Amino acid sequence: MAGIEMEKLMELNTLVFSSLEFLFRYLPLFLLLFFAVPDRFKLFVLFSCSIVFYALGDPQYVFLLLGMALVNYLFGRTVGKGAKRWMAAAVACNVGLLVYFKLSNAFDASFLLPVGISFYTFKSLSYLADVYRKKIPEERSFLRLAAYLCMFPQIVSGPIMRYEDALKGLTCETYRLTRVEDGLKYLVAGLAAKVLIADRLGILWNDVQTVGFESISTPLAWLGMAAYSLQLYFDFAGYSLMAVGIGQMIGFPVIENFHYPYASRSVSEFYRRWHMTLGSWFKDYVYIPLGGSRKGTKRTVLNLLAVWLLTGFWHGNGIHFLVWGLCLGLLIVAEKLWLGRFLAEHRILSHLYVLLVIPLTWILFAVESLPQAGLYFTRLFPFFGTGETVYAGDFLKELTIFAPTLAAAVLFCIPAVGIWCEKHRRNTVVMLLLAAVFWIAVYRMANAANNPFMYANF
Amino acid sequence: MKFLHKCPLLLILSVTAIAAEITGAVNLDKAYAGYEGKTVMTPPLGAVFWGIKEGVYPWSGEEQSVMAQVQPETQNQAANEEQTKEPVPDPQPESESQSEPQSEPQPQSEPEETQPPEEEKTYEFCRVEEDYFDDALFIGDSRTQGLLEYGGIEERATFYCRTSLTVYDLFAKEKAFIREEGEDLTLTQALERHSFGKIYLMVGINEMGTGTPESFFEEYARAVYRIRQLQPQAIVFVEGIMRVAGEKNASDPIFNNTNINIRNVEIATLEDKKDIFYIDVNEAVCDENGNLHGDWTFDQIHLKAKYYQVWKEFLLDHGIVREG
Repeated sequence: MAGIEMEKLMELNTLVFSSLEFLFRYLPLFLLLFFAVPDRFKLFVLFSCSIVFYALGDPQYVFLLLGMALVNYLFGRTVGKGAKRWMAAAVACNVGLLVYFKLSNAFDASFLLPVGISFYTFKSLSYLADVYRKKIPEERSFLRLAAYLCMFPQIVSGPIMRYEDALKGLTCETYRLTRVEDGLKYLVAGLAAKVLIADRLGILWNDVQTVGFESISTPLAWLGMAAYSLQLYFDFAGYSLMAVGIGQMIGFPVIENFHYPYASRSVSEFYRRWHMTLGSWFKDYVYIPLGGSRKGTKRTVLNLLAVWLLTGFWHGNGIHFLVWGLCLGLLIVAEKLWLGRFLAEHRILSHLYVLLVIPLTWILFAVESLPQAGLYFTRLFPFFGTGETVYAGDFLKELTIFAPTLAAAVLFCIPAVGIWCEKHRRNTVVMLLLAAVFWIAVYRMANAANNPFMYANF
Repeated sequence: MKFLHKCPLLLILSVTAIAAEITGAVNLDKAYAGYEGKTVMTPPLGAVFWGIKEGVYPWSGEEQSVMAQVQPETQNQAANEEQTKEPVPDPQPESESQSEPQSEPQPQSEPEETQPPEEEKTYEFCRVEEDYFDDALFIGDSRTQGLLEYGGIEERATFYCRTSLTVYDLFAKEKAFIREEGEDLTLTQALERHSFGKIYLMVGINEMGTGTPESFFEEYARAVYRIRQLQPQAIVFVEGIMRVAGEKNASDPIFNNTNINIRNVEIATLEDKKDIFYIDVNEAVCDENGNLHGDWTFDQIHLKAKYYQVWKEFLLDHGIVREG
């Protein structure tokens, strides 16, 4: 995930959307410049500001980013002519680089990945594959392709916008004030999700880890799991909304990256609604090229497992991420073979199934090693003896503190609530609420930044 | 007007942001002098929101805010000063390095002091049983809160603790941090209401970002003095601040063990072996490098729950029994 790549951005905050520096300095400066220049220079402003922000955040690898943009531009020119060999070389080059950095980081955690390498590699590959398949024409303008690959709203954590979608924005044709306003609303909503919900629930999960898994009560284990599941969602979905909002302000289409995943009725559906641009990327560029579901049941099962193992590998280092991917792969296979039919017939059961199974798989995601996950499961299901020192009041203590945040989080997982807000976004009350929420989030950020520990006092 | 109609939110946020920026910038050296912006790119409006949290407003005036945050010293400076300093075995607050005109920073309106006679007997630590805590009071921050939750002595001892409690909060009038039967009490009120045989005090880590070791110790000594006055019969255990684990120690310019040790050396000088005893739990929870055991903590600062037993055992090994 973006976590590893985010680590080194903390100082200057050029690319951390939920920072005072970004919201009140870099972003307004960029927007003023962007709207001040004539249309034909807008793309250049986007590209150069992206490079400057990147260079300020990660000076070490800015030339790698530029170099890869150039290499992929050149590859694009050749694969467009249908040269299979060049396509293979392009894939090897991009994948090789990503794998090299991923493995270096896996063996030495102090080796930090270049910021956003996963995302610009994925964008490059999708562009090249689409050109190769003649789905889109090759891009003749280096500036346009480079702006697409490097654009700062998406460089750190996506969403992985396809080139065909990006073209609408890259042509710099339509700027309307209402788009800026709507984009700003997404930005504020995303900021609130990240700062007011995710960061706050992060404290609960941090508390659980501080106590130590072996010593939490079973109710707290369940509460911790719920909090982590919600935190992960609001953190990433909030970030995506902010990215989308900024993109919309400058003319790019709205790319939906999360669609109320916790309202799904199967694991397969959940992952069609969670980090949607990554899911569709894996589908279009890995699963379907492998044959998808057209080559018989056995091959389908193998393809699904391969895709999910890859997803696990991509998300982080450690066996527990592979186990996480494998578990999801197996669940999705089971759903494809027989479980899916059962779920489709049982509405309530299917919702409960998702709300139970998905958080359980997140535990594998949340821990630092496989044995830690095992330990956590023994606390969730304490049938095999209890933990060591358990403070029975821990659950109530945490619940008292976090109940309002948890309630808000659950509320905004319900599709009807979000859809209502979106529909009434021009309503004065909703707008004033957004303004209030924005300043509350700024209040939190100002006081978290001034506090050396992002999470809490001692 | 068209703009207002089309972009009301953009307009509201821009106007309020500019207003907050101006407020912050204008008062940055005045009311918000205590705010430390991180970089040149940090907008001054951050100070305004920091101020709201700290209760500092543009009309608050200069004095109060400068008091609120004194620049922390770098560890080397502090360490050098430390070496030139003599330990002061007197429980009274000392003030040699302070340039304040009133050289006796004793709390005002206090009755005259009753110093024990010089020849009074001193005591050594001995092993005690858990019932030793029946009349004990623990005062501290989140670490002491952890002892309450996971030490297994919550039925016996009393705990007055709160996350991020500092020595400056202990006797501050507005800090009623003790919750008792639906009432919020200040430490003074609580100590006037109850009587304890032993009082354990561990504060000091939350203060490290503000003030100097000297200003910290001055306040600490004052607090201990005040506790002694309110509870003259109690044995006071001043606890050395628990250290942080190695990773944090190596990476944090403020919250590291060098700075903790400087403060602990000062705290230890309060010991008189009659009424005030210095105990240092670091003896029990640190590794051979003097850092908190890395695998005993998740966040590098707090013990994991099961290791609070080690702290409790350490306390039991360091009881003081004053017969008669």
